[in-house]
Amino acid sequence: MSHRSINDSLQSLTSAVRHTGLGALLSLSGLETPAKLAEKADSEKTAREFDAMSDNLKATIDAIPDLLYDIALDGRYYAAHSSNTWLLALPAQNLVGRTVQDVMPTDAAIIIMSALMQAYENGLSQGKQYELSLPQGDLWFELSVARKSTLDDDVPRFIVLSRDITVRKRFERMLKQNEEDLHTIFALSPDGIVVFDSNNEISHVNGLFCDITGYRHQRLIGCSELEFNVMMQDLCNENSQYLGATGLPTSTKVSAPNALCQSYVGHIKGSENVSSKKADTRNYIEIIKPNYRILLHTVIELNQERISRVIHFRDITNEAMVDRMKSEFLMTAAHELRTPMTIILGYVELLKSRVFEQSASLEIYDSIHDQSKSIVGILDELLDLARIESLAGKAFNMKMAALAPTIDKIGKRFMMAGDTRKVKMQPLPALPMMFIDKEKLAQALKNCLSNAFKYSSKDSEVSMEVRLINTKQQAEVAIIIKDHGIGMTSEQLSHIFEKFYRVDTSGKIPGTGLGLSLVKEIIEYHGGRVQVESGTDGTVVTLTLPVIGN
Amino acid sequence: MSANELLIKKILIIEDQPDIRMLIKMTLNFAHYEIHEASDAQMGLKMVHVIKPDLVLLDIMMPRRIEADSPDIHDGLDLCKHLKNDPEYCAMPVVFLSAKGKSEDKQSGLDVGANDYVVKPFSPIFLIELVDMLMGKS
Repeated sequence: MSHRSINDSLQSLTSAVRHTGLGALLSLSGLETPAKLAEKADSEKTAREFDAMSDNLKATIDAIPDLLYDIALDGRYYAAHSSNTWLLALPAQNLVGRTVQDVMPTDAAIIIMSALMQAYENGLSQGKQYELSLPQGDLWFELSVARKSTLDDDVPRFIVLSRDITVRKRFERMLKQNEEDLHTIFALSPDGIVVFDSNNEISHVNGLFCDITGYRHQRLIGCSELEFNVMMQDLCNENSQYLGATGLPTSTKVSAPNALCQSYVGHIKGSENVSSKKADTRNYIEIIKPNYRILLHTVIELNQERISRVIHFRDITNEAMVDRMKSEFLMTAAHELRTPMTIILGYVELLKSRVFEQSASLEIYDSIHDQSKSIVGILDELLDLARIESLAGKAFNMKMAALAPTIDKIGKRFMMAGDTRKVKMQPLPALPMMFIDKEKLAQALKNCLSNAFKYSSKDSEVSMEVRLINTKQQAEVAIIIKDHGIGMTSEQLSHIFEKFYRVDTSGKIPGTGLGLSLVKEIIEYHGGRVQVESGTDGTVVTLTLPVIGN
Repeated sequence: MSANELLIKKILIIEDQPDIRMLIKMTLNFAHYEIHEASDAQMGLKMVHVIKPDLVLLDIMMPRRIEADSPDIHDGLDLCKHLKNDPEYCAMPVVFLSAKGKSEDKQSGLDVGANDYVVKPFSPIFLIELVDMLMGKS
């Protein structure tokens, strides 16, 4: 080819390239424009070099999966390229000469322009993101903008890469949601959780752990295991040792620090060792600060990249206490049965082995009879416990009935073994029919009367009175049981409705501590309330029932 | 004092439950023993000094009296220990009568020097035989 024809070819090639915009991109790598090259082009070798360069450049550009633009600071497109033409808002040739503000929706345009401005000021802009609603869906793009070296052009120009990050955005959103969900679950967990990372430092604690221990979140995060152990030890009684996660024996035997927990251990024992994976180590710890609590302490070894272990604290104070009281109750009940059984068995054996004179035999029969009734009483209380445990609500049998005869009957017939007293009854007012469970109310009355008798001396009076109260809102029936016994302190009063609570713990006064808790359940089931007032001159129990018609 | 009175042995029952005291009394009266009663450990100790029984039947769990003259003696175990350490009474047979029936409880009773430990409920006939045997020995 002659020099002239090469020149011509170059020129036409140049103008062709310019048409497609590719020419403008050649200055990417500071390559000389074809025009410039053409000037130098004296030989075929230069022409071939030019071909090679433009091929390589085209290959480079084709390999870029992003959208590639040449945009000026005023937003005008000078070139556009995409290996995925469908991502372009408009075909490339239609973009050239138009502006970003024309072509893009306002929100996207603002971001693109601000990216250009940033690149203008700093040379580079990375990370700005914009969203586009295209026919194929909502897509997200991330911009990477570099300022071109300004040679001839007076308007600053920029290479803009726009990457489709829709999938990444979607995953980011899912991850964030997951994190939020987990965080919520973690925060709302009813148990205290402490997470140690791979450096054995605390990476997460939840709110409840902070509440239980009184240690603040900031104080705990980043603590080493050793520091954590010291902090926990500080909460414990000086006699007990907080062994922490690594200090615990890896045996699967559950250890309990004291008798209080031991009764509860039995329940937990059964659920251990089920899985064959590395056993979680569990034990109970007792903390005395800020409040007394018994916590089931479980260490879960994960040995994962980010989490080495999790320590889980379940507050079982209530359960352990109730369990202990239940055990004590059962032991007391069993023990209380021994006395009447001793007497019954003893006397029966005596009666079998010899003949007693009349007066002695009668005394013996009386005693056997009394003791048998006593056993029935204890058995009734044991049944009460069983009933309370198995959803008392189910056992109620509510009907429209007259309450007065029930009260009357109980009042007239009530007596305690070994006590000659009868209940002093005030005359009963006329009572309307009420929606009640007569048997349960009878039980409640008996329990109240029983307490009144038990806690007062045999020469003092126990009385029962019924009042019909008509208020504006509702008619009520109040049953008032009064005794002149030993009474209770306000401290004792605060506990009386607790299951198993006994005012007298010396063992002299029989009882299981369930009487009043049952009364409360029964009366409250009827929509009523129980009030107890007490002092050194005795106790007054008022059972108030609303009159509920049909 | 008649020969009969000399022969009648005295038994002191220290037990807080009146019905059980009555049962034991009825049981042992028939076996011609003279029965004395106390309802707590402190009173029991006083009565030991006063009537000097030939055998003591002792409950373990008894409520404390408020005006405690012997503050170290809370229950039957304390009282037994006290009696066995006293040269005047150490030879006197002491038998525990208790609802606590576990082997550890029995061992505790024997550890404080009791001659025997009977678990409630007990057979009155067995009790008579036991008492007879212990009285026969002393």
